[in-house]
Amino acid sequence: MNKQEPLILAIDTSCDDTSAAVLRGRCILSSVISSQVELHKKWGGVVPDIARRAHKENIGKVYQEALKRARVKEEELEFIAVTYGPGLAIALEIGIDFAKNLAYTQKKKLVPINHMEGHMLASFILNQKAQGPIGQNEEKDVFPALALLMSGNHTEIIYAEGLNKYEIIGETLDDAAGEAFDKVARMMDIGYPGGPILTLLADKASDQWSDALLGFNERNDKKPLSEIAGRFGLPIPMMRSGDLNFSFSGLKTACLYKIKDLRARYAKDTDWSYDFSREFINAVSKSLSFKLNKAMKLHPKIKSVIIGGGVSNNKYIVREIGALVRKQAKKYFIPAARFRSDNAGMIGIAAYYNIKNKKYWIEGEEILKLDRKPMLKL
Amino acid sequence: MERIKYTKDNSEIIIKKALNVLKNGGIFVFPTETCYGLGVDATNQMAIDKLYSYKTRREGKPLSIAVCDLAMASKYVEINETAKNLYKNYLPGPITVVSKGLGKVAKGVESEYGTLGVRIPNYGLVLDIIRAFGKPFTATSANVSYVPKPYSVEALLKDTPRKNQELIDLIIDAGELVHHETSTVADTTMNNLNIMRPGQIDLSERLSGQKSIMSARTDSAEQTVNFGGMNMLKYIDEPLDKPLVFFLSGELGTGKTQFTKGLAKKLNIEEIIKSPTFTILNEYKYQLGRRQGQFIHIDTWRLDSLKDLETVGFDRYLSANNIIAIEWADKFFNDLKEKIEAAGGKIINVVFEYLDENTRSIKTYE
Repeated sequence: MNKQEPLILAIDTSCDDTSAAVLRGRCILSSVISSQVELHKKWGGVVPDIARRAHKENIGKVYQEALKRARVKEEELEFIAVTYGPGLAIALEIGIDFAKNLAYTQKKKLVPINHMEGHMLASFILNQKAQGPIGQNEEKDVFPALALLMSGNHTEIIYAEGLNKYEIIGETLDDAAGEAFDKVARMMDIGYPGGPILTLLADKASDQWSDALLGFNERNDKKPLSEIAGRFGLPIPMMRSGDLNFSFSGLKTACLYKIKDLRARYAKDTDWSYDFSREFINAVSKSLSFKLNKAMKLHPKIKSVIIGGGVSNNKYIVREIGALVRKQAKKYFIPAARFRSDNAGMIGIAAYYNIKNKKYWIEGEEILKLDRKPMLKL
Repeated sequence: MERIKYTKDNSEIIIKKALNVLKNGGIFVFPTETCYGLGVDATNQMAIDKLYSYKTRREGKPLSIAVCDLAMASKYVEINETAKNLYKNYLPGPITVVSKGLGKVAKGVESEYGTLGVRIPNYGLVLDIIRAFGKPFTATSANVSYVPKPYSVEALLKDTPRKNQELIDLIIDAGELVHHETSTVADTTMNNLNIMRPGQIDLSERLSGQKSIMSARTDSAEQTVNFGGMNMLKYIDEPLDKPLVFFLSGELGTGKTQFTKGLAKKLNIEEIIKSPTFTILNEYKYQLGRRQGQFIHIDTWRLDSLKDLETVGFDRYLSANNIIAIEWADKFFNDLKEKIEAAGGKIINVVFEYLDENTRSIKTYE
């Protein structure tokens, strides 16, 4: 680890969790999320921890824990990085107020960061041995790149010509991919969050789950085979939209209809739910890879594809996208598991590149003017 | 510490030994279909305290309990529709079902939010022990904090400091277990709206005295957007010295977000209106001629009570010229209505009903 590199504290409170991380340059020294410092842990959490109270109570504890695990003292910190959008206004304010106060009173430099830039750059994080998905000397192999960011709140394709040169070329028009998982799981009455449990059920799918061609299909022959995901005829969203946008609300509605129908026809849920889960994941996955493929054709000169966001924890989706990218002989980067969902480490790495390349930060009285931007875009 | 090898024909002796440990507030290690688990009587405070001192620091997940069937589970947690569905269809198996606890276990077993994770391990011997004990025991993984989950007793002992090992009274050694991942958490404490069944009876009653001012049968998402626009047009020229609030009620996938897109379109908002399920609340600025204000899109789907809505800053948006659309407003219908009326706001009720795959009935009440 190079002691010449800046020492950065990063904070993210954009939605459900409060998190803090310490980085020395690209190396992560600690990364703490609020649920790790609570006395009695909470389960997954349906009701989000957005309450102002919860964040306010937590942020000091999370900050202290991040310093402690990094073995760093407050006075050593040089930069404070904080998410200023997008996210829930009141949640963002808590992180921003804390960061502003710390930076202003302790005379540190403040780096406001876009949460989505964090997700995009999470693959650049190195561990304490300076290893990571994008190695120490591999930065030059990344850009220009396409980034596919998918979470409970976002589904976006970004063309990144270089660091700080981003353009959203495709995005969801309604529900995000992760949200579709939660809502379909709710329709199936299998609990929350939807991703892991649907995947668990999908693992038990029969060999026929996609066998629409062998007469084992239950679809209504409304769509060409290339636009359906398997035996239940779930539509693969936005195949004919012509653009790079996503929409998962139509798939959600199709699932609602299908589940009602299946429950009426079968004695027990397990008669259909394993195959159905697999087909649903496939519909989401195919939609993501179809648009990514289209984007790759439009930007043939890219060197790599970066993925990020909580949905990149889904093994079926990652497998499909990974195969697509490798087939096109492009490099493919995915963050370490703990940096896929919301975390402050990714805010720290984004700050690192803002500091290094753009010399971007604010100081002194300027700090007090920073305001949250709940609908911020890249 | 006693270590006994499980040979399939010595289960009786093992069950007897395990019961003895459990009854005396001791700790035992048992095999499951995932990794080795750590069991103590979940209702014995001293046993739970002992378990916490074994674990030293608690990582990721809270404690969970192992039961043998739905009947036993229902003595310790509230079983709702989702939970019942999971127990009926998918358990025993590697799923931890989280429900609201009934406060029947020792302190520190339920989470601080009052929820409790329940497992039915798919392992005959363990189920037999639970049945014989007649009460649940803990089902946390047997490792101390920050070391890998143990799939063999050798690995467990290698990673456990001697001091912690001394707290274990009995180890049931079933050799190397198949390396299945640890159980998947399914939280069922999401509000119990009847999303798969006609859920409008209640709401129709509440709205029975009110007149339906507009209604439509829409056959596509686009038509639902247009109907939203028509609704906005009706109010666009009225003076907005008080907030205007649309209550959108109807099950998943009936067009609430599409309708909201229509409202926003007529307010000349160019940004894409996306579902606010995850962020809870999205704010947009609108300008129509000389009038400007905020358009607020809210989804209460993940919220528990009106209080949660207040904590996301709802009250600060209840001001003149603001237009608010609330999905799942029926969740806290009366409280929300009272609050908005106290602020002088005008409420428009929009009720969405599912007719078939593509057709929706949408009715607006003033």
